[in-house]
Amino acid sequence: MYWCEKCKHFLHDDKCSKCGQEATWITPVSNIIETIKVDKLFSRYSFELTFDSAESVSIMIAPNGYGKTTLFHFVRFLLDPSYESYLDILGVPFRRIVCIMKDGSEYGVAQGKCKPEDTSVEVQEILSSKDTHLLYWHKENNVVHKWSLDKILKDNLSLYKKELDIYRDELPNNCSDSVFILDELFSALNQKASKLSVKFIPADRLFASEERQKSIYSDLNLNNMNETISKQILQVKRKYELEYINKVNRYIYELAIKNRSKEYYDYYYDETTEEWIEIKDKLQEIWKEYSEKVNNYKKQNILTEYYKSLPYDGVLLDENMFEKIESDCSNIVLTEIVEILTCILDAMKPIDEFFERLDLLLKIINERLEVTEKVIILNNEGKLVVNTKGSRKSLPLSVLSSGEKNDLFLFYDLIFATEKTDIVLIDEPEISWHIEWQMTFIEKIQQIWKRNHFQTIIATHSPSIINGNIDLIAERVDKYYE
Amino acid sequence: MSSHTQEEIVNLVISELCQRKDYARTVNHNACNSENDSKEEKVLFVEGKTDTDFWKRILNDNTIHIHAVNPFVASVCSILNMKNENNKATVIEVCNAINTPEKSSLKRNKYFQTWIINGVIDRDFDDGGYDAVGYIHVTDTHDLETLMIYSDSDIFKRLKTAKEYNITIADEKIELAKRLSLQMGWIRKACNRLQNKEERMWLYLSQRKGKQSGLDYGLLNDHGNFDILTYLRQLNSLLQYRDQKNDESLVRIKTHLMSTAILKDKILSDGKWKNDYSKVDEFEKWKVINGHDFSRFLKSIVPRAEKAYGTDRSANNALEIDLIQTYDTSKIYGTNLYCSMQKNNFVKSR
Repeated sequence: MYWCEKCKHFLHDDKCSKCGQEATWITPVSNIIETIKVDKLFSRYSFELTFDSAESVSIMIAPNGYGKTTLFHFVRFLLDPSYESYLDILGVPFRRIVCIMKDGSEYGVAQGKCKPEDTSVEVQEILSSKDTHLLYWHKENNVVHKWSLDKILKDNLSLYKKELDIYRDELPNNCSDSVFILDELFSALNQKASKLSVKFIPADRLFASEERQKSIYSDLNLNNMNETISKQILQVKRKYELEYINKVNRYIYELAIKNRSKEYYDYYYDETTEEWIEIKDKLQEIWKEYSEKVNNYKKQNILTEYYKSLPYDGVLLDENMFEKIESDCSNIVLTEIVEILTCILDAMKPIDEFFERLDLLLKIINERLEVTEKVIILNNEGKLVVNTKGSRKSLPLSVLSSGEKNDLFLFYDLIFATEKTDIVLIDEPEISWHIEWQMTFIEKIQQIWKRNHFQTIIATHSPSIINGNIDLIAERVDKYYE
Repeated sequence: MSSHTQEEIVNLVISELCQRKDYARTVNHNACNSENDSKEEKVLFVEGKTDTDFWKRILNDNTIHIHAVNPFVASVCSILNMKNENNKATVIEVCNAINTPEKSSLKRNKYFQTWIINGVIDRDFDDGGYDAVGYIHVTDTHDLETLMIYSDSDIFKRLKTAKEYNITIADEKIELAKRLSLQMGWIRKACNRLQNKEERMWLYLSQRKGKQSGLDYGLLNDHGNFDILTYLRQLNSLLQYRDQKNDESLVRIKTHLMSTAILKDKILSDGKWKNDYSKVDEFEKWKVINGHDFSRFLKSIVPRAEKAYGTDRSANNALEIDLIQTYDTSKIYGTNLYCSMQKNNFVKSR
């Protein structure tokens, strides 16, 4: 799939038919939702939603009370079953909800007495007309796996309770018996049923997190947003400094000692060979990349606290040391150094990725904060702070307005918490936003999408969020199943 | 002013339409209690709220979604700090964007393939040019209000609220209001032709209605004529031009206006009308008269009507809404507007 940067559109060809510019190749999301079939949601609404499989973003519109948020809960439950997502659908009247994926696979849940029509799963044979059951199924390659959730819960609950009496002391204090059991059950179901992960960002994202200390929806704790972010930064710094800087120093140091051996030196040293010249060039090249990166980390205050406590007097591999090694060491030692530096650079990738994400977050947020002349920066202590024009003192993130917090919260989740996510569901992103921010939201999502490939479904009431992207609106066909 | 473009406004209007249409479709779906088999979804785009009320009466068809660009455009422009001068342009551009997507940046998926979108606009002082665009329909006369008054000649005799308040609007009062608004219409038209930006500002101000401009329609009634000099003086005081320079500017604008082809043979050098308007063809008159001006003049010369409807802008709308409710819908059959819409199957055959 190709992407035209100018027209912000997916293409089948490598050249855009509208603007004529060359399009860039984008690896498509492996599996996305193509259709959602809804039967008697709230005992009332039946419809089919079709999403354009060529697009990374889809928009869902419907009147209030039509079930957009509830549908998100169902999608999360179907594709990523968990105790939390089970709680969200518990008690909602419905007959059947089915997610049909791009690869033809199908996830469904049915309740009560159902007719087999409009689904390939013969629900009737499983469900008794007398009892209300919750049936979950996954169909892949024409093979249907079914789980009668009511039965599983009932059977396993009694079984687990017996075991629990034996292992009660080992249970976490804050975990009630039933929650523990259900959590276990659903994680088992998750492993068996679905290979997808779903991230749901609810409309009440700010309130939810404040009430629950740590939001069940987000990795971010809004009350301690700064602590959460700086903790992550600290973790990355420690990981880098302890694991990689230490390794570099140790290897270089050892090699330098080894190289002092006269016998070793005489045996391997031959600067006339082509091999020698080649390895020197390679070393120069990789050294340049490495030193640029380390200097960059120094600028970003990543190398501040821990490297001083490293062995060998906290000496970092610097220019002087490199020149000495380069001139003194034999070709075989230099080859080893190239290999080490290559490994180190590979190992640095997660750190680079973290800071690339942070840069993207700050770029997006700061662009939007320009209007009030605020800038969010990472300070020397590794914390995000707000600088305002005319004030020398940096302020904590808590001074941000609800709209700004909402912005930071949402984009943080989209950039950091969707690394391994397949589908992101965003409910009413427009909350507390000025129309200008709403109008650029889809553009920003597409910008993030180029890093973290995921399908995004947005439920909105705002024309400014749609902003002319009517091709992204999911097609809803109302049905009547009887 | 901000850097936002008309194209962005069009995008927002279309997005709003999607939301509203989806809502209306849900309501219809619930009401019908059956699957909607209709393959085509018709949307009629109009300029303002009163146009919506008019077309609801005329079409009487809930499968056609009638959508007004205002007040949504006005509120969006206000938030985005944009000037909102022309709802008509928005109607045209929205219809163009949806009917000729290849010429716009708007992308459509199959959900919108079944949309048939037509627009109805006021003729104003345009010389036409919309006939070639099949999906844009233009009023025969200056606007929808004048089309109602022109096509349904007895409308004031049946005016609903007027009857309730026992108000009689005599023919001579209607004639007087017609003459005043015709004269004002000619001035508006002449202003429209002025090239100078500063002078066109007068037009901009003169287009403001009701309390927004503070223009006193009653004072303009001078011996049964609309007095261009009083009009200009009023506009001048509204602009709060007090210094000598702007008095000069007032004189210059007056001279420019009176020398335009439209007014040259209608006004004497002292600014008085030649009173030969009666030779003008009836239909041509209604192409110049602005319906809002007409209803305001009418109210100012029929005191009981002013008392019944009030004097502010919403009161003016109230009279226009009454006109819509009173209008004999069969009278529209003979208009070009109806024929044009009939060709596109937007109105039923007679």
